[in-house]
Amino acid sequence: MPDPRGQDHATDLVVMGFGLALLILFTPLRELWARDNAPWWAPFAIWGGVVVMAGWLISQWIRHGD
Amino acid sequence: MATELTGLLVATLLYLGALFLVAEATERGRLPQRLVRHPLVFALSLGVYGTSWTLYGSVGFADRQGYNFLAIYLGPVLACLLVPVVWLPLLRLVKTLQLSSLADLVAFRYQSQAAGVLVTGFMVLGSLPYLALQLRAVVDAARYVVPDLSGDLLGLGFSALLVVFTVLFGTRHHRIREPRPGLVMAIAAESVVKVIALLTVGAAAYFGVLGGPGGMTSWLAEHPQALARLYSPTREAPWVTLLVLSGAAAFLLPRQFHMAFAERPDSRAFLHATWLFPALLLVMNVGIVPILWAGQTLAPNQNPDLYVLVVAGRIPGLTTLAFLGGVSAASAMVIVCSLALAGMMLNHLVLPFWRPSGDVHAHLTRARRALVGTMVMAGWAAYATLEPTGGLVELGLVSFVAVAQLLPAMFGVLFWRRATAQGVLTGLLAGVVLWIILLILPRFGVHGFLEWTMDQAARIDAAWRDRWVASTGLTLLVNGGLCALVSIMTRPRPEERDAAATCVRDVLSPAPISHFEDVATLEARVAELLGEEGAAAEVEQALAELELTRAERRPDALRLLTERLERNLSGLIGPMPARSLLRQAPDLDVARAALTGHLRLLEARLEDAELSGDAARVDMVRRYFRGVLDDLPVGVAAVGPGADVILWNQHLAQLTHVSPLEAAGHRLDTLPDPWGPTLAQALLTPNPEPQELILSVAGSVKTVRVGRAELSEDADEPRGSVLVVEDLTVRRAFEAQLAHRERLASIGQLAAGVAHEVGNPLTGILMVASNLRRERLDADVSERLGMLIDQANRIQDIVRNLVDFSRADGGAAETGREARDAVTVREVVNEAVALLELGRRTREVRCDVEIDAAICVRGDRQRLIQVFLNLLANACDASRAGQAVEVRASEGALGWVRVDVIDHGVGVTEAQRARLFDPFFTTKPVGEGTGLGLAVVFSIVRSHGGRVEVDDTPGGGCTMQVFLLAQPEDAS
Repeated sequence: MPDPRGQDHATDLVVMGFGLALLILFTPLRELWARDNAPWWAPFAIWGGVVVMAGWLISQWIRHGD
Repeated sequence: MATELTGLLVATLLYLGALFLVAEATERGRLPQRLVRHPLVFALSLGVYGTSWTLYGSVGFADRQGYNFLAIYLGPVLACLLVPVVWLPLLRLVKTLQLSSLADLVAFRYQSQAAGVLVTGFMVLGSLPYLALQLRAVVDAARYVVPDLSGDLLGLGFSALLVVFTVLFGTRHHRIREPRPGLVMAIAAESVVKVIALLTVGAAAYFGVLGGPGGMTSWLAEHPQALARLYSPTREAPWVTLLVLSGAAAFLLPRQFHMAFAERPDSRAFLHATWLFPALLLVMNVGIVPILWAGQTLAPNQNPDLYVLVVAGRIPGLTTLAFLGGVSAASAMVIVCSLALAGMMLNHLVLPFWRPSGDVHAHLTRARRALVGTMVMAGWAAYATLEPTGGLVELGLVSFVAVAQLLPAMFGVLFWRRATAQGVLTGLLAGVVLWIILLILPRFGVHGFLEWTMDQAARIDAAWRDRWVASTGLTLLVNGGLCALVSIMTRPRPEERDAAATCVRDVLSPAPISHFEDVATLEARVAELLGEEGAAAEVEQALAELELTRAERRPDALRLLTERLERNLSGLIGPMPARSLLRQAPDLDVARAALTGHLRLLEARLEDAELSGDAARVDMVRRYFRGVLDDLPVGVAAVGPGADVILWNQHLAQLTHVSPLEAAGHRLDTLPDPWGPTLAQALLTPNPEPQELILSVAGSVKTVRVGRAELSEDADEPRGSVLVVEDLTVRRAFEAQLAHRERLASIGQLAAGVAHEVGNPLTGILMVASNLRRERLDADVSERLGMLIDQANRIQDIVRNLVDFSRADGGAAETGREARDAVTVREVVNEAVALLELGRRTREVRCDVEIDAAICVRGDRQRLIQVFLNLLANACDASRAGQAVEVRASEGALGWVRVDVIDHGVGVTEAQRARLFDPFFTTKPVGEGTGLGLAVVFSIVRSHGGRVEVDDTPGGGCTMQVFLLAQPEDAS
């Protein structure tokens, strides 16, 4: 049976991860990586970072027994 | 031209044929299950998101909008981060309710067939531009390779080919409800082809055209505005709009919903899609920018949507791969989209008006095939009709804005219970109308409203000058605003509230009230739709899933069965037809009866529920009180107003041997004898005072006390009663034993008094009589004196026995206080035999003693001699002349020695056995026995901490079994 506390913690992590990704991709903070002189691969690097974070988040979720 | 055309045709047919083989091999189990169920396969199947728009259109979009093209894929990346908290609950809901489309979900949540119809109609309409996009991309690509081809003919031919393959892929089987792993595998394979095609062309552009990292740096130095053209659009308002649209499309597009939910993937694979699907999209897009710059270098005047083919044309064979990539992307989209829409149309546009008869599954399959064909050909009609302006992406975005209109409805599904059908219908209808006015009419040459809207909105914010910002913002604002406003102004119907509770994973959501008395009537109702054969199959399946039988009549079991059937039929004909078939408006009696079943079902669901937060804490309290009820040392049964059992605690289960599972849901009077009738009678008794009842249970007698309490009664909800059953059997037996011992003690005191008072005068009488006899008397007087002495001796025997009994009984009250000597059983028994042989009877009855000399018991030697003397005397008296009395002894486990005194006489009856050890009870003729012998035995043995039992001797007679505590001889 899933541990409710662990699940709550995993849910918090997922929501925080989503919030972080939203901050980087959705808000005006995106200008940090979307500058005109940024390398052409910068968005893909950010994207790769989000993928790695998603992988970690989901490992936490699975570990907490869903 | 003919050679090139033939080459493309053969390649396309071979490719689609190979896909068919992949699907077939999967369906037949030729591929390992580990592969079929692998998370990567599921993520690749979600890659159906990447259509020909991705393969060809993204480059054109990047040319016009720079890195805004990435927003189309970063939206799904953001949406995927919510897989565990949004997608997963949705998947559980779809699996549990056997829903097969978004329209099913919305119709179920809002309990509205109209909502299902509106969503279906809108999704069909909204998908047409997207289907047209696919055909246009393939036709444009084919005409790039073979310039003289007729676009209309090619589009029609490709559409016809897709109809055939879609029917083959998705509707070959009649198993409409079941997932199609073959389809999932084929779509995953298509994604692999797309990725390979894009990566290969991207590599060709990067290394072959631009010259690798060094060449790229040089190219950028020569084109200093290139990076700014990529980045600057991302800082504008459309970026955010595109993220919202694509994020919604990631799981609301009919094809996405179908692959993500309706094919019911494994939960583990589903969770891994959180990162695998974004990774797949990343790989698909990483080559787009090099392809764009390579295309601008090679053919600056060419349509940028075709740069993939321009770059591929530099390497022999790569053009075919790039073309097949486009075919792959387009065919995957058309196949899954038309299948999903056909299912929605069947459930929400066709079945409400058409009830097939005969082989329903076959009819439904044929109807689905026809709808698939209709959908693909409607896509071709849209392709031929819609004005091709603004590149491939424009058509796709029109569809994205359409599916975004479902966001308010989905918010109600997942989070907002208060959303009502009226609110959602009003908002959605307004959104549809605005979508048509703003985005469809211009395609038919009707312009003006969008521009006017943009002008007006731009007065507030300049960002609204963008058409996608304006159309998305306006439609969603009006749609969402109306949905919220009307929902607040209206009240959800009870069935809406139930459905909303189910959707937000409220485990307390009730099962439907069943109006069916038994399984047969339920089956008859299903047969109205599916025919007898189909109904029987559905009912059998539901019964098997719930592990019920056809004989089931319990109201709550029938509720569960109705619920399961409704869900199963939802997968076949949609949730609303299934609901209208199996549910009716509840009447008061049914609603009252439903209360008890409802409580039981809630309990059952809570046991399996995964709760968190306050719900988990409340459930902890519930479990605590449930545990208290179960562990009470009395039986407790709660029954509803209809006398059906709601609660049956563990103690009652132990007492009655009727488990809670067997009792729950049954009427009391249907439970096994004697408990059912007895408790049912207790429920009907006007007097609620506890009653003491004596019941015969499996050959033994049980004494129980049954109390009753009425539960407080609301005006509308009678609660029933609680029965408290207390087992008094042991207590009553103990009380009887205590009374018996008290009686024995009284008799013992009486006997001691009598013996004392009678014994002394008697001794005097005997002495006088003996002295007189020794004097010279005549014969007659001497004979009379002899008779006097005999009778006086007999009285003395009785007195002696009374003394023995009084002593023994006094000792019995203090069990275990006898002397602790080790006594050899053989010696004791032999001495008793020797004493007995002094009497007359033993000369006629033989005593056979077979006892090991080593067997010793703990006790008083003299009193044990008395025990065996009495037992042997009784055995001899019961035996006929010439028979033998046997004495055997054995050491048993746990420190007991058992001594058997066995006779082969007349034996004892059951009635005699019950009173055998009572004082003054005898089976001997009057004058021959005092009835104290066995009472003395019983008392002495008890005072030694042992016991005496009576058994029949095989072949006739009686065996007295004496159990005494063993003691090794040297331990004394």
